Amino acid sequence: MSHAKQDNFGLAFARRIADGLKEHPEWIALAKGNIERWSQQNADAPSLLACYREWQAILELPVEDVVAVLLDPTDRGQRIRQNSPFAGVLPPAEVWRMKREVHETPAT
Amino acid sequence: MNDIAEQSAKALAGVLAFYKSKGCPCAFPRFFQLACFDFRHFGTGPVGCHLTDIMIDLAVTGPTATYKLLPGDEEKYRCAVCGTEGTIHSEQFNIHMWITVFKAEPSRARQLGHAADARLPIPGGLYGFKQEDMDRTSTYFGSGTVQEMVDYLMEMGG
Repeated sequence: MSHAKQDNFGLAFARRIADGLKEHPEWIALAKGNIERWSQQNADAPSLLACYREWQAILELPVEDVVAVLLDPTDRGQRIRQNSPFAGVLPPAEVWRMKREVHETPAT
Repeated sequence: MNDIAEQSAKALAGVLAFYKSKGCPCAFPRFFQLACFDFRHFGTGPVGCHLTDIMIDLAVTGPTATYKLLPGDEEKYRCAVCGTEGTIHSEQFNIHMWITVFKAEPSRARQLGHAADARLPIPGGLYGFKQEDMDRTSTYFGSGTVQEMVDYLMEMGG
């Protein structure tokens, strides 16, 4: 997948999470759990730990602010979306469908 | 995309076109060897292979595709030529680690390609967070040039 399509997938995934967060506030706890587990598994990887810490701080914000970060149109938003901690929130089949749709959409 | 990645992607498109010219990729066990790589068989941390991702994409989209999504399903595919079925899904294993996994059922095609009886030579393309995890797939993947990979994937006969 090209970088442009990876960015498009990151945005599509973030939008899906943003749409569902108000109805599923438990996704925040799931994301925090992911980060805690990954932090233990990758305690010797400073660059990853920096990404985890950035998201730990975001996940302490009110849900509306988390949504704003997910949809942030700036370069920072794009970078943060590539590092989503919301693994396991959506079924793998739904994630594949989103990837497929992005892949099948001509690059702009 | 760097040169090797671009060459590999073009080469794999040629391999899939060759498979399709012979019927379908399911007649080639080495197609499944690359397309169905799953790090969980090796007891490692998450490891993906860009070439696996490319092979899956080529099998389901574009002019080389023979696998079609079953109506009403989000992950189950069937080869339009031989009827072999499989599922494809994508899972996230870490903060920027998405891996697509193709689980195929036994092939229904008459075997034309050589058995998957050796390490698959690849010109790079593995990704993971720890070198030791990638090293543990060395019983499956070997190091090779783009041409060696193509020759291996297209070798005929049992």
